[in-house]
Amino acid sequence: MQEMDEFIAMLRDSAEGFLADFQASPGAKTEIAVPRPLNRELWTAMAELGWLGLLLPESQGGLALPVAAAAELAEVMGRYRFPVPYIEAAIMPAQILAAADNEALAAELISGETLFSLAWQDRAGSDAAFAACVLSDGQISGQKSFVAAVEPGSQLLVCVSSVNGPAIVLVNSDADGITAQRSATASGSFCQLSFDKVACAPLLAGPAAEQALASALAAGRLLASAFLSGLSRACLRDTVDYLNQRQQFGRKLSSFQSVSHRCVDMHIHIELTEAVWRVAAESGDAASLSAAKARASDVAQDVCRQAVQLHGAMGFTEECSVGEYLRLALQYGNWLGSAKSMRRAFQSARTAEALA
Amino acid sequence: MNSLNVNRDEMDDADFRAEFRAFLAEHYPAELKQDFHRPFRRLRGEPANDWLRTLQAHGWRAPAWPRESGGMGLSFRKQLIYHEELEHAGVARIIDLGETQLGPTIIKMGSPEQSEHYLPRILNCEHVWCQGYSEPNAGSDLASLRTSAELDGDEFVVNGQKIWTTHANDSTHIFTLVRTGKFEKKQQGISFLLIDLDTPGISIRPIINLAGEDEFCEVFFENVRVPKANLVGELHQGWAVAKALLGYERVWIGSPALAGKALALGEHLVQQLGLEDDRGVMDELAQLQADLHDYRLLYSRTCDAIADSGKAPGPEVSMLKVYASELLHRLTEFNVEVGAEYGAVVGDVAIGGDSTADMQADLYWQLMMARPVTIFAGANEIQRDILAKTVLGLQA
Repeated sequence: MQEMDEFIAMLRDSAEGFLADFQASPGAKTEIAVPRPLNRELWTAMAELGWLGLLLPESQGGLALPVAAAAELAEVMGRYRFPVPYIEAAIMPAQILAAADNEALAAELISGETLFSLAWQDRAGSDAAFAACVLSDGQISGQKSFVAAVEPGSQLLVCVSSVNGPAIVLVNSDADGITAQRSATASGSFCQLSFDKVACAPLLAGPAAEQALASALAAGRLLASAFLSGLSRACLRDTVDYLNQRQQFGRKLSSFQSVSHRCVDMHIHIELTEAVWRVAAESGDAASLSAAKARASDVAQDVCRQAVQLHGAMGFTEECSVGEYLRLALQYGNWLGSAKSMRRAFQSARTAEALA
Repeated sequence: MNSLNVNRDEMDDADFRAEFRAFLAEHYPAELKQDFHRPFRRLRGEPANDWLRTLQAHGWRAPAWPRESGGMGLSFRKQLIYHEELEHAGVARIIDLGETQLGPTIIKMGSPEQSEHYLPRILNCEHVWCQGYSEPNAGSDLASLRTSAELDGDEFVVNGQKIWTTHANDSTHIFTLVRTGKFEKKQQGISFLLIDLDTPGISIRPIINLAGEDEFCEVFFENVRVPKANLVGELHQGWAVAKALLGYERVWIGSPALAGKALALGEHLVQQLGLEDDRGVMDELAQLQADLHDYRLLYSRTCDAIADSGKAPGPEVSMLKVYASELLHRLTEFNVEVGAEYGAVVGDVAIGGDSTADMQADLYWQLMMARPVTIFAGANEIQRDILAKTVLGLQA
């Protein structure tokens, strides 16, 4: 336990240095409404730090860390508003590859030489994943929505239905028969993918496929919560710094109660967020995880929107970093479950617990 | 009476919890439990003293006091378990300020003679204490208090008025903050003085609150002569004496226990009125359920941090009081709103509905009893000022 605490402290420490350097670099600034390609050089550097294989078992060349450790890393990434699809392209695919026990693919993910993306979602606002795409005669046809981090040559892990039930198959994103409609997000893009008789390789089938997806979603939700928690904290800190500097009517803005009390409420909400995702990381229970994602999604979007107001006209410009925070809050606050849908999931899990 | 000598602080946490749970199940009177009629039930007067004596007789009284002072000497972590079990068993709250505030103050700042005289009398309920801090013009701005105590020989002569003194009409004694001198800083020149309410010159007037109860009082002092020996700590240094315990007060006020009772009432109401298919109601309820769930986690995280550090709580615990009290507001408001016409009733009502059995509840009382929690012990606006300055570093 203590060893793990020390390891996590080291991980956070090294992440701080790396992420601070990145944030100061010219490539860090995100653009509006432009799909951001994944920076392969940066991805390789992350691979060298061991981040891509953090959760994979040692037998597959990973570090076999608990998901709580990865969440700590995501929290630091949030603090530096790191616009790189780490959750999408490393954490979630790794859960699938770990379940598939595929050493060769895992090695490609860990080294960063191949990019992976999990194409799971059938439609907006739903966890349905195995109906919109059908496997037949070794080929898949159908649709996948909101597929994140699809890059040229990416390996897609596609959730499909087959005569034998749910399955996850492997398809190269450049394969014939795939069309993609791309929309921009803060740190990358979503693709609406259409498959028309695309040849695929089998990876997982039956309950194992469902379980693998469930663990990928759980890990994704936990890390998104931690990321949003760190993001909110940094956004509030920057706002407090601004309020302590800016003067109007001969007073610092921070001295106005209507301003300072709003900051206090944001602080309390961030403390709540951190308490919940940390418990969810350790307990892994469904109710706490849903509560964490609901809280983090709500709080991050609220804090970042309020930061716009508290920065005044400056907050409405791209001259300061508030917009970058807010766009990331929109991305991770509405993907993998909005606040409202996660609160409903929390309520169902809680009711089920009470009945059990 | 082996149970009196046993050091329960040395017990395993789980054993400790089980033993206290069993004790409460066996000894706490069922008719005094919290229910939908009185979800935040408080005991006062004789029923309160009876229960405190039962605790005392079985070695469960004064969890935070050191064993040499007659308490249980529990670590902060075990105190948390103790409070969790009281909540779990539905034990009514008791505002026993002798135990929670005065005792620890005397132990920390009082003289050996004061400890010897007062502590046993607190434990056996011979003395029941109330707190005389607030005044008509010194509420949240407590340091502006004006009730004066002038030294005349071996006695202080006290003149002035206290207000919002909870349960003064059930108490035998009052611990007060009084002005003994005027200095540049208004926090200086305040002293901490113990006063017997039987002393000539004291009169008490109960005030009826919005819940229809005479919980708090005005206390008037007219040339009340108090022995000099009743001063706790140094002359003029009463502010520091009183402040030493404020952090712990905010931790206990921040307990999620009351909110838990209010939510249980709300969930039962939703069922009783057959609102489980009303998506709007269920979403509002989900928000409150999530808020309490998350707050419980924050509360235990904060308490664990205090327990681990072994230090007194810092200013950050103000956030507990702010959030818990405002959550209590929202919960009790939800209960009135989903109650529809039942929410218009002032007092008890049988709430019928889809379920065969009626439900007895008092939606008015719970709404009103939640109101002062955002006001007392430093209004939430003041707590936010404290947090803004000390925790967030927002400059004045």
